[in-house]
Amino acid sequence: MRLSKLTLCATIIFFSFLSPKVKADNKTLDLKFAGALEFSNTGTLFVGDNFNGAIYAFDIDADSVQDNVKPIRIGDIDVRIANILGVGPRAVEINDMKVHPKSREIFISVSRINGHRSEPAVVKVAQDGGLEVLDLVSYSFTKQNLAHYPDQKTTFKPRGLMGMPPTTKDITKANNKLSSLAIMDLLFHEGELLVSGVAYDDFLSTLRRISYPFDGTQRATNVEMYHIAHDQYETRAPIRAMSIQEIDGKNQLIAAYTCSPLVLIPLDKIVDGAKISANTIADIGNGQPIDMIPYKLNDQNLLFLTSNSRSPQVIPLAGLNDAQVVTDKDFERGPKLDISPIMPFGPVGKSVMFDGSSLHMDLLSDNFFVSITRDVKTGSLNLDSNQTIFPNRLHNLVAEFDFPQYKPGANKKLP
Amino acid sequence: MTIRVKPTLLAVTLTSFLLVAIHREGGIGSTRPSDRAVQLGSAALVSEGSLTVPSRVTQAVELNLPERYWDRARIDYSEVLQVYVDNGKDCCTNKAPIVGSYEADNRSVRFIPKFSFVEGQDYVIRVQHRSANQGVFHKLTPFKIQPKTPVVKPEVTGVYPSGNILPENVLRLYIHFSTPMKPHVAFNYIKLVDASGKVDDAAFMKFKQELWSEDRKRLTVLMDPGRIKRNVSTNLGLGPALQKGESYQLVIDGGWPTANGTKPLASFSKSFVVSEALRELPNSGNWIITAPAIRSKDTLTIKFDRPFDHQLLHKDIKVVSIAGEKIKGKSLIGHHETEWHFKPNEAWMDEQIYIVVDGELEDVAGNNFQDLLDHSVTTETNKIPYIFISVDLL
Repeated sequence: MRLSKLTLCATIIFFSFLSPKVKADNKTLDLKFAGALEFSNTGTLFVGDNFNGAIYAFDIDADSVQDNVKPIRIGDIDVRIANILGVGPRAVEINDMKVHPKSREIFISVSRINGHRSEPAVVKVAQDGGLEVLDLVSYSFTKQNLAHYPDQKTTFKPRGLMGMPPTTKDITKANNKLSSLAIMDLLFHEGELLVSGVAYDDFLSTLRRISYPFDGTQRATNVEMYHIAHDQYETRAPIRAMSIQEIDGKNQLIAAYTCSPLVLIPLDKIVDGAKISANTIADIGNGQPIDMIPYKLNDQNLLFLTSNSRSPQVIPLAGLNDAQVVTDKDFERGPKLDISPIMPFGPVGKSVMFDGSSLHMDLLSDNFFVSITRDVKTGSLNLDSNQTIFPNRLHNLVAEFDFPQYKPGANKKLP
Repeated sequence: MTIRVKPTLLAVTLTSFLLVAIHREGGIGSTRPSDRAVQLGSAALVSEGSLTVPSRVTQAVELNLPERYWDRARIDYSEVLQVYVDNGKDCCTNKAPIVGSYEADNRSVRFIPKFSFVEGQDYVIRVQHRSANQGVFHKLTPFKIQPKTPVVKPEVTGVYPSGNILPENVLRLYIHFSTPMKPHVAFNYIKLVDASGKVDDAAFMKFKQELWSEDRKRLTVLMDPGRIKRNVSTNLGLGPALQKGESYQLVIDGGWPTANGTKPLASFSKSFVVSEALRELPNSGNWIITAPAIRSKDTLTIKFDRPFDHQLLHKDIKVVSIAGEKIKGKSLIGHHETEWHFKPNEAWMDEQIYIVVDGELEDVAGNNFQDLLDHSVTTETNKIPYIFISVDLL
């Protein structure tokens, strides 16, 4: 008998069932963490606070409606934000970014690290590239506490790569609280705020629908989905990025998870207290999705899905209609790595070139994305505008076109 | 406390700062005139007000306004006074100042940062000046609020094995410090000295990396195994570092700097006598176990047959219930690592418990239950992952 068998069964996870306050609360601003951001169509800014387990809604009036949106490029955006917050660049964590629907100003949520504390801030980037720290207390706001907010004690379980012992960084990751994933993505849709994240119990992946203006009503649904690459039914890992689109004639939530299944959930299934099975239709493969941005290119409706470890994926919405819904019965058993012949699976569209790694992205205008991008060569963090048709820069590439001898058109046939 | 920098003091500070800047740039000709500490004419200083540099993170920056600003109807204070994140060497071109607000009466202006200052961060105060011969120019005053780190006297807080009699083949020494020490210089300070005062330079195993704990407060020092293992070349050439019957001192010289460069370490020494080498496998059958009474919170005690490795004792012995669950409680190492005490958090509930000892638990000479550190190549090792000792409670 090995000791590991004896001790494994002693692993107990405690959940404290705190009774959540679900009333909207409009008193003094007690924001502790500025995380996920979302705008309503009229310019209400929603800020997810994973420390307080609450969503704050600020009325941010547009300074002006911007018709002629210019691309913005700001080098070393992290350093510039740190400068105005009065700290070194390593003391700023950028949590999310969203574009105001009217003014097209860019809003960035950050944590300002000061010793063992962090303070929330939201920074606005104007069309002229000027940075401004929002004086959040000067805006009128409402607050909605999340029902079933996870306890503040439970942390992740250390896990090493493929049977190896966990590294120091793996252990650091495991020291994070589950509640840090309470609010993963926010999505405003027809007077409601959809919130993906984890909730209190062992079936953690949860979708919430919260009416806005906040009136205390919120519906929470536990979501299960079949993950092709992992060959298992997953109920804990939360939705990372989502969008609502009309698929098969009805409004459906398209959701992307880590490693990276795409699922559809009809909106009418998201009712309070339900445990629902999402319809798995695709799997892009390993990696962690970050942003899912609906946009239009050449009259085609598309989704631009970024990942922390893959090239972005351009997914045509038309391909999601009549998609085959799959379960474990449709595949040979066993996990499927990216090199498996069946991967990527389903109507995943195309993987496209993106120079650098986008940490946060949104649509700036009809023709441009705005992205906070880690430069592959210098490691600098830059705010870039990328054309939707070819979302790239050229400065880290040298191609045939860069040579002085190159003449356009002259290379079309053999000399 | 408030540091009020008087104009004369400011002149000294700025002049010396300027000299440093010139020195770094390699000559006055290479400094740019704008946005820089500009050479100060004494005439310019006399008319300028004093600046209050914060010494606490929540303190404002305060500037007494020069007379020409007094009673002026409209002043853009954000033009007059700014604070930047900078070390003052190349401030503040193409850089945005820290966000904050201004409070002013007609004699002084205060800049209150939106977020409090951060200890240890370099800041620069930039004040706009004006003089008849220079026009508008800026003066820079760097400042930093020193972190309030608790003062810990750097000292050796423990050495393990803690006994004064160590076997000839002792392998590992743990030196505990009160604060993290400067790395890569350990063996400039750590010495093995014999009774005649002679230092043995080859006693310890020296790696490219020192074996520090994660908090950098515990250093593992290995006696060179080549000296311990019989009939290997270093053993034949130099003989064992420790000889049975002799006395030695482990000396840690004072002056070793701490990792953060505060006061140096106080010197330390530990005397010990060398006993016979440990050349038998540890035998749990010779351990004396004192069983606690059921339904009590009495301490379970093990008296070992030899001293064990202090660090491994912290993790290699567990107490498990009959159902196989680890019993939670506090363990304590006693009597120079020859005893182990365990006090449960909750009263003992089972009539029988198990002490589970990892087969790789080593004694102070590096011998474990599987093999001796120094064994012949033909000796087979025991494949014992764990040793289960059943204990009947009283």
